[in-house]
Amino acid sequence: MSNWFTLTRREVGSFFYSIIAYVVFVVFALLVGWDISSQLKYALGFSSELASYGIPLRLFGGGLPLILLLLITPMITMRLLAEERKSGTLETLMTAPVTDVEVVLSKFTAGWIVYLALWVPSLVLLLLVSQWPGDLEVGPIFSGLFGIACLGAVFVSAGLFASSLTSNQIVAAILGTVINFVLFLVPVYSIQARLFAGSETADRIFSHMDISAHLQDFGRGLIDTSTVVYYVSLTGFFLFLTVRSLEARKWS
Amino acid sequence: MSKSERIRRERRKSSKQTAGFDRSKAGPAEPTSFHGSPDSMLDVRNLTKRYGETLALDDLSFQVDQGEVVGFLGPNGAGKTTTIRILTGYIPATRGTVRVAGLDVLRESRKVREGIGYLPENVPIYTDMRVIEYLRFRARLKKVPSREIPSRIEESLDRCGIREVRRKVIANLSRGYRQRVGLADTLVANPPLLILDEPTSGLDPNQRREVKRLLENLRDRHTVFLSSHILAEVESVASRVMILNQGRKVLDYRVPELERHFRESAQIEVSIRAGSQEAASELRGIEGVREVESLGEDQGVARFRISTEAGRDLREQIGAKVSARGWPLLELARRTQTLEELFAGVTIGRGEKLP
Repeated sequence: MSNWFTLTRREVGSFFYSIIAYVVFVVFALLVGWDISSQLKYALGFSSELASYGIPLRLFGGGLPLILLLLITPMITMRLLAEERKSGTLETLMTAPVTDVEVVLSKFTAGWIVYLALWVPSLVLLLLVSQWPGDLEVGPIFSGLFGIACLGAVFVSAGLFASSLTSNQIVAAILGTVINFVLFLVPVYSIQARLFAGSETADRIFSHMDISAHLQDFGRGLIDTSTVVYYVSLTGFFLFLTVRSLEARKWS
Repeated sequence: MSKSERIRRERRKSSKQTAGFDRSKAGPAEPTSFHGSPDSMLDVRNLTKRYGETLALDDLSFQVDQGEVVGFLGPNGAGKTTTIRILTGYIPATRGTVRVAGLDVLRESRKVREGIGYLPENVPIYTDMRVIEYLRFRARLKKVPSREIPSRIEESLDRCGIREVRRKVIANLSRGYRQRVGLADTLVANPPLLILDEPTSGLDPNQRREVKRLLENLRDRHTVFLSSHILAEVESVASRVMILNQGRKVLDYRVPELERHFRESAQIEVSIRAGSQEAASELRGIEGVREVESLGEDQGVARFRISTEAGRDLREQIGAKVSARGWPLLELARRTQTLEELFAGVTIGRGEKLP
């Protein structure tokens, strides 16, 4: 436990030593801000009567944020293990009295913390949203944020796994993006399953795995336990693979 | 660490007094001592490592006692780094066992790692941190109690002479300083065993001298296992020299034995203006001469290399004999073998067998 804390702290700290981190932060905040304000503008296009009923704003329910996450989380996670491999510090680290699991968990936590921090500047925009003329539904905003936090865990763990496979950060980033896109594209297969196999079951399985649909649910204010379980188990799965990948040095 | 875990550890400790590092006696300045166990600090048996088809280590066995400073030599690719990685538990061996202070390196890996200060080759350390931050981080990882951390860091800084750079970012340090930061890291938890892989590679002669001085200071307090390919360095620091070639131990001498070996293998070279045949038989007649090897004849000057019994210095007798025959003596010198020659001998594979 104390190792986990020590390692996480170093990892988060070292992320903020690099200038790229700040660039990512600014770009992300600008894009998310653009998305939110365009949604607000769109909503304002409705009559003020409608506005006074309260419009369920889906501020954090997929669309641009989702695409951004697919592309940006691998940039956060790419260095986590790949850099350690490249510079050889993995050896210094693993020969200290720490376990593989501790290392993986703390790398994951650090990545997730940075990911969550990425959203903090966007929260300032909520102040703007709070000026909304009509009744504002607060629930969906928070459930949407919750969904984004959960989905982030999936993407961070997938990116961490990608980073554990190579000593090249760029390769890690590309690999992470590919894994994210495969997860994201599952609904496409769901349609194919329906068309060709005509299998109800396959269709249902695939639609359960549809990450973007789940994120929309969160954005609508729907917190589905099975979705949370799905995200958590995906995260666990990738973390397990990462531990295995770290152990792989022992098999050669 | 939770309370229950601590209690469990205590129990385990008391039930297993025969093996392990004893930290209980270690004060802030005292090195952690190894106690109780009749086993050596390092006990390596029948270590074999295969990477696919290649055999990196072939049935390597050795023991290192507490307080020894072992210079672990060998040409590149001999298996030094592989051995060291197995000793530190970074990779497992294909076959064989390693015990550190009586603890199995695989089964009690974590405990073993707590007792080892390991500096991998090329000093991989986090270059984005400041020296003091890095040492604090490593001390925490190595379970140094938090109230001891400041004093342990201070001591490491002083021992390695890096106090003046403690606030600098490691990336901005010279290679020599980085090396010393790496060493400071190995010392910060005051481990009984230090394992250093090529601690002086890539340094300029001045830096190398400084690191060497540092290593000389380590030997009073730690058992040191040090790999290198710079022989002069090992010679001045180590109390024992082990040479590895193609995954096998080809030589293992403690320094007094090594000195005796050099003394006994000393040879005498002589150049005489005389007939080669005649001179050789004359030299063979001298009491104590074991072998006379002719090095050729050039313009009437015959050169010989003479091996003597137990390396005796027979220069006076040879000189007397030669002048008694009235031959002009051009050269007479005693040559002791250097570690360099010994190394070449055992690793290139001529002469020298494992004693």
